[in-house]
Amino acid sequence: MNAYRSELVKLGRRTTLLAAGAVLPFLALLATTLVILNATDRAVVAAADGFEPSLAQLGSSLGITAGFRASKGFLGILVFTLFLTSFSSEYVQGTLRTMLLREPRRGRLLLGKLAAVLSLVAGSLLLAEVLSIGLSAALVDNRGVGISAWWTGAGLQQAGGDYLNALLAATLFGAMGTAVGVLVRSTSVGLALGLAWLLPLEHIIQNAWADAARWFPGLLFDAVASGGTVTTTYGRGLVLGGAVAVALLAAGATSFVRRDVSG
Amino acid sequence: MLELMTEPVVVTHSLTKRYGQRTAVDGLDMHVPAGVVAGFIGANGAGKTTTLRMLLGLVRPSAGTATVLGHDLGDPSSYLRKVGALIESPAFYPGLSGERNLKVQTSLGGIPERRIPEVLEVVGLADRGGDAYKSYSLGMKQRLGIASALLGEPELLVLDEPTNGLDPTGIRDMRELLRQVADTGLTVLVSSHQLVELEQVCDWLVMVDAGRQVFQGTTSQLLAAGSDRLVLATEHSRDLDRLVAIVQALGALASRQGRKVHVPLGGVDDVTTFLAGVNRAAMGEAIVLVEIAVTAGTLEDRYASLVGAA
Repeated sequence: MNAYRSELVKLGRRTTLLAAGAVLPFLALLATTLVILNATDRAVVAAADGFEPSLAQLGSSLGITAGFRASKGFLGILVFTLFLTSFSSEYVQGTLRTMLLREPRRGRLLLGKLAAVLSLVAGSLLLAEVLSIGLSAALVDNRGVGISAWWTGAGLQQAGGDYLNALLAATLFGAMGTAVGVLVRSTSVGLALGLAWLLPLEHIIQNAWADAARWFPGLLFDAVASGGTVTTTYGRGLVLGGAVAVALLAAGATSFVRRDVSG
Repeated sequence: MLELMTEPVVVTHSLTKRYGQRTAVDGLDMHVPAGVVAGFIGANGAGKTTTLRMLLGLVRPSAGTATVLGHDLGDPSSYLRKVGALIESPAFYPGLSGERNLKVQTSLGGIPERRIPEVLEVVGLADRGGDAYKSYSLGMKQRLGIASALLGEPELLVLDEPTNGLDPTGIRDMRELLRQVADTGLTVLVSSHQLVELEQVCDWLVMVDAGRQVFQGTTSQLLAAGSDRLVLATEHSRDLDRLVAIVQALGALASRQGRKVHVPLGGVDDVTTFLAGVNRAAMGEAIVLVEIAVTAGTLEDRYASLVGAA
């Protein structure tokens, strides 16, 4: 608990909160605006998770989180970066040794830090979803769409499920960011490796090999955020993605606990 | 004797740390009695910081054993609550204020927050605690590091090169702060390669060279052990290098320092005979000595003679 509280003291700084906690809500609001403005009355449209849903989809129980779901594309990169920098910067700044002098039980320190950063992400996601729903309700009226279906049990269940999936995916991306940060011990190298893998490489390979989405960690985590995709079921994303995240975290935790801190 | 009157706070037996083929600390045996200000002396790369990191649980020893405050080195959580430390340069979050940085520490260590203003007062940062750490001067950063080390009301304070990078005023302030802290009765283990600084504040010394202990004992024991110094000056400065060679040929250590030659007398059995020999040899080489003075030895001389002999 001490490690958790301590990390919250660090994260509670206004500029940190703004930088780390307000980006997801901002992007959710941006995505929501685009989704509502782009919604079309054409019969054949893209999937309900995209930036161009049909007005009928907007008016259904799915519509309550259409904007929030569209913003999930940013989630992985942002959460990965947040967790990675939270850990790698402790090595780069030398603050890890200051913390270990105060809490030498390294496993507890790792868990406390992880839980605190995840709490920040959970709060940020909740704020993003609430603001997105509020903005959707305000904007959708101009498109002539009724929102009575949003406030039904199915609509609220959709909102809860979408939040849970986003949080699960954030946890998986967070585990990956933590592992890379701890193993590499360098923010710049970690970001270069992680972003190169998550952004171009996975997607380039996926273009050439469609089954990549069934095996690659970032794409598996994305499937969890989406509640499953055409190529990867939700269950597969959760089980296989979870296994990858646990393996990465175990490697990171072993390194964190055992390696000398000489920087 | 100081070492017999008090229980040791730090004890190491054959403590060793290897990094691949390189041995940073090589079978170090040392002890630090309770209640002293102990200087941990050695050149850069002598193994001081690695030893301190091992004592603080940051680095695992390759071999050997040690106890800190009576607890085994393998379980740092059993003693670190009673240890305050500043290792190398202070490391804090640049965007947080001094106070908030200390709050991160009190939260992590379960230390009452009332300690924050108390330690800031001790180190003279009471009026700057609310400012961002990144706006602090180097001396202020060092002082905040000491404030952090004092937060948990430690029994042992470990400071690694606390005067590194400080200007003369900062060094003097740090020395006064160290004295002030030591007066409260806690044990201080302070490493440095600036021997003049340590000579003025330490009552116990551990000297290391190439990862090995070359001396441990009280400062007075060390300085009393025949460490007077001979200072020689020649009529012409061009003769200084030749004089160094002459003295070295007589079996003593000699070094040129400015327009004078310094000779530690620690290894000289009969000073009068030695002085006569130096004078005679200089005359034989047509070197006119205009100053021959024996002065009290310094820690620096003693360290040089010990390391030279090791």
